[in-house]
Amino acid sequence: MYTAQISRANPTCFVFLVDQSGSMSEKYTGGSVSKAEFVATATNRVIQNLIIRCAKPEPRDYFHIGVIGYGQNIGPAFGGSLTGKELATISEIANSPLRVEDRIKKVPDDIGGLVEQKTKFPIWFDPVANGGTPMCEALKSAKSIVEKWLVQHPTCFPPTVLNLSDGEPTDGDPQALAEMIRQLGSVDGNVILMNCHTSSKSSNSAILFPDNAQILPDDHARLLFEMSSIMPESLRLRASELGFGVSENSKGFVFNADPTDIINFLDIGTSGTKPSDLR
Amino acid sequence: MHILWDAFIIPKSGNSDDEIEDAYFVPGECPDISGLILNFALSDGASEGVFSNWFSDSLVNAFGKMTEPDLQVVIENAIQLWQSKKKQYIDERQKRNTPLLWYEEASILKGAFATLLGVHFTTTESLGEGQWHAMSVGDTCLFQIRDDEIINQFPLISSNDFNNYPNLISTNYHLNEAANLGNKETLGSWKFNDTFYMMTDAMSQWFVSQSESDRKPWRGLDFESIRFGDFIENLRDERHIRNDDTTMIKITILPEE
Repeated sequence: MYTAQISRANPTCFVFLVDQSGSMSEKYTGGSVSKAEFVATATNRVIQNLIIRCAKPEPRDYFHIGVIGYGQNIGPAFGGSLTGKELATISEIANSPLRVEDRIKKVPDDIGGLVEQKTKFPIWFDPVANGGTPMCEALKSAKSIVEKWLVQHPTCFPPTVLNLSDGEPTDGDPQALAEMIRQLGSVDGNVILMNCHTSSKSSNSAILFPDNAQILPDDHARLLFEMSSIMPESLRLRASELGFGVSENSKGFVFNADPTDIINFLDIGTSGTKPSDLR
Repeated sequence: MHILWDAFIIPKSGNSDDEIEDAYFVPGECPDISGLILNFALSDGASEGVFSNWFSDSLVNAFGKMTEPDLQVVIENAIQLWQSKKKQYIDERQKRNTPLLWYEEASILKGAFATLLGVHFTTTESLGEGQWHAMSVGDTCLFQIRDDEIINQFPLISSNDFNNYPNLISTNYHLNEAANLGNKETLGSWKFNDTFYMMTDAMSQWFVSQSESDRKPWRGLDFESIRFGDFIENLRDERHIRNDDTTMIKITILPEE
């Protein structure tokens, strides 16, 4: 289970569901960045990392990726020439960013210090914060995308759906839809559904990859916990590498995530496939 | 005395020959090598890097050409070779008016990664024995067979030692601190009729698993009657070996006939 080698002939897919409701405009405590801005940056960055992982240096289509935004509107969030695409190949995405920004990052030099280095930061979708939280509609979209994918790729490494939100759904109870998604699968295992709840309040303690619902503070946390898949071994290994205590029953779920937790969530959620498994 | 050697290499299933990221170095033809020094090297370029095939090739050649191999010097020389090829590639792209795209720049900045196993033999005919010195970063392995038994196995001992996170040499200097490299060295001696095998990780893991089950996998490694490629594909089909670029060097030391 969860051991299928990923290849150009047998790729896997990642579907990101991004909450674009009005409350995502709130800024993180002590910061200048809103939840919407940070989640968009983090998701753009993880897409960038997935492309670099596949670059030899031309990108090999080991992955297909979709981003669904849900708020006032629901639908594919890619911009530019990818507008309207539910899923795109890594090479299509690599060659079609909305724009590429110049940024500065600090990197190690060869003598133990740090130097500033210009770097390119591609953007595929911009932050949006407007409207309610139609999470059920977003999950329906994800289910439809994954179902179509599995018909075409029945032996793939199972698709991963990563849902990033900051609040309760405003269009119904998503639990049944989450269960339906988790029941889908390839011969290599069931679809992995992961949920990240982010909070702008630093006073709220984060709960990271819990293995039981008793430690959760409220009904919404317990709902997201029930919606989430148990993490496969490869994701647990990555979580352990990053210093998180996980057990065999740990769920792909983070509650009250701050920006650092979001980055770790996305890293772990897209780590199920080691580069050496890519061919 | 004679040393016979042969090298075998096939790509991962699904990849073409020009996508192989393993590389090896064996000496040129040498009918009688008494009193000489011989170097053999094998490197497994990592999938998470870019132009890893250039780096594995640079590492084995840097090792092979040194009279007294020194790992730090080998790494330094190999990184310079890789940097030189990289620069040539970038210059050619600019000449063709096809500058690097953002992801090409980013992946080239990340660089290449590879393992290295180098074995340096010295020979003295008069006693029918000599010394060997091996150095290693990663999970490419050496096996020494004498009288139908494994008498040396380096650097990994158990099939459980193999995983997806071997130590790797990087083209970025700051990633090559000793703690990251985990490099190892060992010395040994050889006698006439010893056979040595150098293998990249997938085949090494299979070899170690077989010997842990009291089998003698070296008995099947005679590629006069079966092609190496067919042998490995059969193992892959039966799921006895991981699908990965697979390379083996076989070295046999014989007395003069």
